[in-house]
Amino acid sequence: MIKRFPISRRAFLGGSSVAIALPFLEALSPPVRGAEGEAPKRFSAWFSPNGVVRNAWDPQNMGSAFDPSAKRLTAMFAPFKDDMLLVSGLNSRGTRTAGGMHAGGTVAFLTGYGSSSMRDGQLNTQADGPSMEQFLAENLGQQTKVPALVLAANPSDATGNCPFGWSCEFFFNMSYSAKPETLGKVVPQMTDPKKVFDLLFAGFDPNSSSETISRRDAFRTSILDLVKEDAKRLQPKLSYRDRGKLDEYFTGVREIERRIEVARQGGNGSTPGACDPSTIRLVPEDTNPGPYMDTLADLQVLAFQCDINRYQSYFYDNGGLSKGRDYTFIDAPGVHHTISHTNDFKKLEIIHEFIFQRLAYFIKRLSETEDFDGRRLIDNTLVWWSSDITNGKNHSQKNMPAMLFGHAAGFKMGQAIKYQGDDFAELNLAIMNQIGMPELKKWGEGAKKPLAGLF
Amino acid sequence: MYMRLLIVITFLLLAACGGQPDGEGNTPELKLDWPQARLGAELWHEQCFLCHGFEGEGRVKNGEIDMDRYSEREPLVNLIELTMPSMDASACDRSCAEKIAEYMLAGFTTGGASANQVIPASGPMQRLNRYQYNRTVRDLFDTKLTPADEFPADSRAYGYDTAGAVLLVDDQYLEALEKAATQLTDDFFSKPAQDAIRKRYLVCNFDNGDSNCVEKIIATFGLYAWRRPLNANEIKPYADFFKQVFIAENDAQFAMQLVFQGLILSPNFMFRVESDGNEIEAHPVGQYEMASRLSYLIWSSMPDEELFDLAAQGKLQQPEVLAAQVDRLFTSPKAIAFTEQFGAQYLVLHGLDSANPSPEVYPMWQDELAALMRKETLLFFQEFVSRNDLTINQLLSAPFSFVNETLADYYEIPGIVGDEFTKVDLSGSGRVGVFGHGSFLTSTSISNRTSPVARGMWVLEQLLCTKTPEPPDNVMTDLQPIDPNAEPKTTRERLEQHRADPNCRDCHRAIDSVGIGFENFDGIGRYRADEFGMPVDSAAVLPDGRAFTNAVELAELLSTDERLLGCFINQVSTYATGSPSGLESTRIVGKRVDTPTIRNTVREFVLSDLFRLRVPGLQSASSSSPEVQP
Repeated sequence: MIKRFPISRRAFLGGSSVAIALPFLEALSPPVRGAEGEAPKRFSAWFSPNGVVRNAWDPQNMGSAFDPSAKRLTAMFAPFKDDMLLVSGLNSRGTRTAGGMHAGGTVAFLTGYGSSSMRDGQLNTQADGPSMEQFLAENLGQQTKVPALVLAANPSDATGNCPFGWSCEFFFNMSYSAKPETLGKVVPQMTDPKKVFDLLFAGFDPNSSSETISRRDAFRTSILDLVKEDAKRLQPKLSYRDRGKLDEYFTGVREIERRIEVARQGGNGSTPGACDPSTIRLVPEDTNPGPYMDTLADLQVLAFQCDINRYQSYFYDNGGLSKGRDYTFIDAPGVHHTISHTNDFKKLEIIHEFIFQRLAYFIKRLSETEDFDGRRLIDNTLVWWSSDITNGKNHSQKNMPAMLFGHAAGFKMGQAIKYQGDDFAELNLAIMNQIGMPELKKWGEGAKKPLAGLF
Repeated sequence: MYMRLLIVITFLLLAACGGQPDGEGNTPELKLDWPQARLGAELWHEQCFLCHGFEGEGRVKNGEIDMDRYSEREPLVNLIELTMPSMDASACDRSCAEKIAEYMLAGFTTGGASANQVIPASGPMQRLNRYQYNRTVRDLFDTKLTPADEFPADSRAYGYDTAGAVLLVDDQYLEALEKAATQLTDDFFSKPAQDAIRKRYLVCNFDNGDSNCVEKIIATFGLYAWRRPLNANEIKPYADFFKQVFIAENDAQFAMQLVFQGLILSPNFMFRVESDGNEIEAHPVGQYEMASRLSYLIWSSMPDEELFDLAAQGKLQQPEVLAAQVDRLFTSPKAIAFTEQFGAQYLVLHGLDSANPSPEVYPMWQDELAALMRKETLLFFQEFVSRNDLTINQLLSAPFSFVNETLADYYEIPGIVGDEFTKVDLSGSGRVGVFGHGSFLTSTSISNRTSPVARGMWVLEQLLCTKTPEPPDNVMTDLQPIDPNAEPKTTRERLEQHRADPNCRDCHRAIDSVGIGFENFDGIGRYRADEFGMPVDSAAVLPDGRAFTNAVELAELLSTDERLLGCFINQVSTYATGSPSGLESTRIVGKRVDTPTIRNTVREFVLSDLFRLRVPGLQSASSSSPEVQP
């Protein structure tokens, strides 16, 4: 009796009597993928909170004399020195209202905007602009199945009123929408490897024929058409505020339609090169979260390698909240933020070392994975690590620590550069100019030129 | 203290120069700007109340304000802008000062204004959250499936997961909804033909695609799914869709299944839409919308037949009908949702999720305890919901709780056997009300010690809705770490060290005096007479001068606090509407409650303008669209 529509349906699209039209998204070109030609440029932003322990991270020597192995918090990157650029001395935006040093810095990393705790007399939950990976995805990533992959290693369900009158959204999110209807709204993060896998490889179903899949998608598309009509009828009757919610709905429906269409044009299943989703091992979170976090990195690499996704953000954990992951499992009991306020630098170094080992694992995987142009994946990728504040004792966005990995931007790697208070957002702009948006002239609140001295 | 004193003196000096009534005692007519005053009321409660009290009566020394000194706007605004709040005068700028002054000039009440002027505009429409989705489909399809368990997590704003602003709808969410719609309709259409719920919607034979019958079914199911009647324009596309699929597939049931999927993927199902075209002024919300407001408030689910009937009869704005419905809804078993959703978030039980007691300091802690503590608090709250003779004040002071054997052993309560929770008398045990619960005591502690500051903040902000000022930038907000070579100090001693810092002292006096009262309970909620071998001292004096010696006495003092009831209504209102209602308006509602049981209080809230009216927002384009990137 149970009818499950993907199965045992006669050819739904085959007959000429079919009255339901598929929405052809004609603007979409088929996936750009040179079989022997160029691989696309990828970008991944990697955030961890509470800055760094400066003594254990700031380089002894600048320029190419920079030696990662000389400091505890760069030592794990020593094998990738030639793929690495350490940047300090940039000033980022932060908070416009008191108490939001962590929240403001978190938002500013990828948006280039400072933030306020309130807007219109209500708790502000919206950034003033989009985050960079969303902006890239919106402008350059639409032909891939998942234009932006937004990951977090610490589930963000502590929301609402966080300390000091700030919304928790700003403490827990660095990704903000670039779609016109939902500009600046939080883009939800994914934390569960299984759900990430399902998102990336839904339709990767060796047991279903392509006919079954396209029939199922045809039903989906026609139901979506139907409910979109409901939404359109509703729209003129709604208040200004309610229409914003409906815009989210339309945006979501369009994204599903786009994905179905990308799949229809062969963006699913026909994975390039050596990309093989069946090999991945999905490790859930455990007492020692290391293997779980490394699974997220594996998924990031796989998403790039299969060209399902080109722009990513990875949120390691929040800054500023005294509730958070406890580091007893590496003999540094306590919560990162709380410890960062103390003089217990030994413990802090243990924590930051653990964090950077996760980042180093991601870089290692990128450097040992072959892209479909035959080069290493890291040659076609730019990974950017930074934080919300400069360090735990000094809650400012001055002299922000940053590290770049990979060659997609064409920056001169294998060195360390110290700037003198230049605008952090100029680095956002420089990266975007180099990985596909050369025409972009400004970013965030103040950056009007790309950061100089990177080549 | 010096700083505060200086500023109070300045305040008084400047006050003397302010606008005085003229010699005849006639004050020049002052035209009040009510919307400004309303915003000022909120700012007042956030920034001024702690020292100056509700109406300038003063809660600290020199905190009283003599309003006879102010009758003109300008000098008062200047004074506030330049000197207040005394902690950090930059925290209240010109626009803030203007609003606060307006509220003060309105006589510290916006009670004289119309609802349109003082009730904040309704927030964006609320999407069903996960809990509501599961409850709603349970009632809609009579199903055991709980598909929302797989949905992306819902965000919380203003403390509750009902805020339209942060209940996002995106592709991930919609994909999860698609899956849920398939599962639910599979389940529904596989029910036997005689099944009651199936017969409720499939009211005629549509096997041959009879279009009258199809439309009838769409209208019938649509009424329940969209929680309001559908008009012909809304039915037609679904009927056409049925026809197309029926022709292509020659399978009426399959076609109807897709129609049902569409109806529950529609925004009309997933959002609580309240559209009536009146975007000009505050007005009573429509009948079906009112039915949903009531059922989602108390049941977290769709209206039942009786509510639908009353809506159809147009009775759901009549006070006596509303009052009776509140009582009826609360006596239904479905009212457990009010405890599990409102109660749990009001008492911040999600705080337990991130509790992280250190195994070194608390070797006896087991993660399973968190679930038991949660259950204790839920049962306790439910007792207040299901009985109508316990007041909200007694949430703080009731000498009973609910424990099973494990939790009883943990709390050192003798004589409880078995896994079942039973009600226990706690008189004389030192534990009282919610403050005796492991949930409160553990979730307000950090991993290796108690945090009297977090406990004090919890009480002030959650139960009394009193915002505490922000710490100044770049101050150390954690206690100095323990020096292993020095004599051990109690948490209270370490806290007092911290309070010697003039940056911290003023605010922390108010916060810490409350938190100190719970020091007889350690960071995982067990009773302790001493800490590091030194006796615990939990005596303190509240900022208003009332003294106590232990948690029971403190609970007694707090349970009579005048802020408690207004704050509770404010919390209920935020939960119900998904956006802040304002302490001023909820305090006014509170004055109408006779015996503040939960039911009486919620009934009074339901009868108030806050719940019954729809308040359109201003269509300000500048207000929420951030600058567009190039």
